[in-house]
Amino acid sequence: MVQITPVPTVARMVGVGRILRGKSVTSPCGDPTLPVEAENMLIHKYVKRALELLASPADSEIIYTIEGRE
Amino acid sequence: MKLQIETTNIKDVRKDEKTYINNGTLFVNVDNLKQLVLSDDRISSVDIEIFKPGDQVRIVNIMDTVQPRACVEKEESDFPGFVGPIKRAGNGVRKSLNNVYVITTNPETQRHYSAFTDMGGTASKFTKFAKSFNVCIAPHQAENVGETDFEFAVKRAGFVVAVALAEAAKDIEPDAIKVYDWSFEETFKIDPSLPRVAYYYQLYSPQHDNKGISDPCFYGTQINYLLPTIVHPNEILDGGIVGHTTYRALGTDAIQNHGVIEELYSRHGKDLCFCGVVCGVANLDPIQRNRKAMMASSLLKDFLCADGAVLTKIHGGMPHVDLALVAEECEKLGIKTTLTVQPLVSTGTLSATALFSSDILDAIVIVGATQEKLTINFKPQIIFGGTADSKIFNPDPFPQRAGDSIIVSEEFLIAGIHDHTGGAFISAKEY
Amino acid sequence: MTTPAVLSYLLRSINYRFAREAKQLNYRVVHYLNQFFGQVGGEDKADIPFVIKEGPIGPGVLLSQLLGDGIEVVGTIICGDNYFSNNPEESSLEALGHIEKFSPDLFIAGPAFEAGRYGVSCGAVCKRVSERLNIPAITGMYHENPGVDIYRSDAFIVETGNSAGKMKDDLAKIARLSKSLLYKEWADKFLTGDGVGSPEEYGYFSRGIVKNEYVSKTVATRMVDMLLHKLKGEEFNTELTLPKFESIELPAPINPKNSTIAVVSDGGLCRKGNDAGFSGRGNKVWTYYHIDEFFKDLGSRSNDDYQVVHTGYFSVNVIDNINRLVPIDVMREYESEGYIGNLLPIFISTSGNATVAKECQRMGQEMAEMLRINNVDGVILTST
Repeated sequence: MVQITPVPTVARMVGVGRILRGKSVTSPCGDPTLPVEAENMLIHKYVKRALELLASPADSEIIYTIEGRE
Repeated sequence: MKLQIETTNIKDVRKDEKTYINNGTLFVNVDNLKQLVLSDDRISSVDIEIFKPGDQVRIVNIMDTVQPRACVEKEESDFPGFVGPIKRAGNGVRKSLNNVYVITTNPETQRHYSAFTDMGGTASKFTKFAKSFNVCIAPHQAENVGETDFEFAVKRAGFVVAVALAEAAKDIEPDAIKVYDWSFEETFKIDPSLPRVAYYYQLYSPQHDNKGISDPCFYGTQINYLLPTIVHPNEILDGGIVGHTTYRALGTDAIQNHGVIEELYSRHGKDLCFCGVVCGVANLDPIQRNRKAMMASSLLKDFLCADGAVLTKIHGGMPHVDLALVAEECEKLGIKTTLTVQPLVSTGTLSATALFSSDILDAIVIVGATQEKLTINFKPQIIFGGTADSKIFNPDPFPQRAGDSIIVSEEFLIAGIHDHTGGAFISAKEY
Repeated sequence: MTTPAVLSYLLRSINYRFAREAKQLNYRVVHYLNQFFGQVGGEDKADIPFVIKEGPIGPGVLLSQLLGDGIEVVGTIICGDNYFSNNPEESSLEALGHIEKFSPDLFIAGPAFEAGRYGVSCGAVCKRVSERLNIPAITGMYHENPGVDIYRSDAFIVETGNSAGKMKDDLAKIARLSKSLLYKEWADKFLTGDGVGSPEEYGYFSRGIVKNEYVSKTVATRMVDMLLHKLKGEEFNTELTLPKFESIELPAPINPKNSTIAVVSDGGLCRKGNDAGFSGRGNKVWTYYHIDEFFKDLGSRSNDDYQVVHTGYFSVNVIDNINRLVPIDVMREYESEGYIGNLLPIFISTSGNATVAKECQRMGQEMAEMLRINNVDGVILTST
């Protein structure tokens, strides 16, 4: 399982193995301030990254971002 | 800056043709108050009632609770940004009334929930508003006025009335005078062996914003994008910072008597040196959250030169995580911290309610489990701020109405019980 | 209970309460014992059915003395350990029937020390009594007695030794707790008005509840006091100890291209009208939707189809574009392009906001079971 969450420290505390930092509490996978096309690309990035993390070894200490990691 | 609050204790409140104080009784010209409120054309009409201890009344749709305060000097601004112009708060003489509150209700609220309070029945044992005189206002929306605009008008109306009432004390000898005299420079002249203690004040969290619009609670403006900043403690006590547009265990009156600020002032120069206040907001975006924690801790360390810091949170779950991050960054810089938490559930262990887990955060004080449910038996004779059909919030999908003789409410929505500024004599324990 | 019995019980209670208030009669206590402590016999008598006696029996006599003036053990219910444990449901109901005839103000069972069957029967009867008669129910057990974990939330279980060796001390603890409850010594302590003494003070196992209570110092004073101790390197007591979590065995990586992937969310998304019955806070239910029905194609989808039941965040952004919470359109695209082998046609939804950890665990296990049955290899969980 990969969890996309805008409060990733809670996921790390509990021991989730694949943590992907979300965008914002009210919009974990998207960004309402972006124009439609740009937001769509962002949502694609989140899903793509989530699938990448499912294909990678788990590590409950690391908080990943769409670019890399914290 | 020096703030001098001159307080008059009120023993009775009565309607009269003029607003004045005589021998501890506040006489109120209600029509005059109405005129003041109606000068805002966003409000078409307003109900104003005065309730005294013992009245069997339930006040619903509460937006705010305010202690009457008014500036004496013309240059100073009352509730800047709402009543007076935006000018720095916290300097000069203020008249204040004890034992009277203005309770601002919004009978036309569209929000999912509002606070209420009871002056009779079960809840009256626990809320301070059952023991005080309450001047309650319920403004009605004018046509073609938007929801958010009207909410601002209602909030403002409460402050307008609070000022008008306190002005009655202008020429009265006060019963008590309290002076808040603090300057950053002077903190370095205090006994250097005293630890320098600062306060981090988490003011707000935008996660609950109605329709995504933030509440104006900082000089009458929205602050969801506020970077952490230093404020003078008097600005907090004097209306620069006020309650939110929904009452959640926090009204303006609690901020006017801010628990932590009062405590730090009372011990300044005795067992600690109160070295200043940094305030910030909780962030929805984790990047901004990390940035805020870094900046706030830097302000505390490099600019307030704090040895230790006391941190308090606002209502909500994510604010725990947010506050803990600030505290952790402080500890990493060598500032010892203690912070508040608010268990969100009433079963299980206290540890299980924690939303953060860091060995360095070993000094935690519990504000209370503010979502604990209270079963209230009360059949009010009067309902103000709404009707018997007005919704009383229940997180479970069962409706409750203000006229029901038994309701179950989470305590944070009963005005006058809990206090996120640290002023309540409450804790939560495992039983 | 049959209606005439209910009526008769109510009338007796009312008469008795008036009488007590008028003449200040004693508080009435009923005591439950097994065959051994009830002085019937040993293991050979473990099959005896209920025996009812007036007044205290066996350890009840000492208990009575320790309870002191104004509190009377008016009756003792004795039952064989085997008889009870053969059918605990029925036995506890039977016990209740006998107990209520005494119109008690308080119920005490045991203590059971380390005896497992006895502990479980004490706990079971206490549970029935406190639920149905709404009076305090107290028992005593050794910490390893299996009855402790099962019934600690349903009764006051005083911690005792592992045998009757220290019976007097253990009964004294029970008596002390009994008095504090009968005389409502802590009534004003809790905000909810039903105050009791603390587990530490009275030596009972915590009942797994968190209560707000009035204390002598404000939050602000406590914070500053604690900070000053911390700054001086002195000892202090934190009001909350942070949790430690067990490490979870983490699953190996999968290849999404030949996997079944499911999407789950705890953001509180459901059909408009809250068909799921979510609570906005402290929610204990979860549901699932068929994605073809729930997430119609973009063209025929409307904001009015959905609702977010979650008091922890404002829902405007999610309702305007569901993909911000559940990136379903992107996942469908990736499935048709082959990046995902198979997208599970079920979306699991719950509302995660201030729910007790135990309930979260239960829901997670139930969800995991559903996913397992559907041969799901990987999950994307989105949270707010």
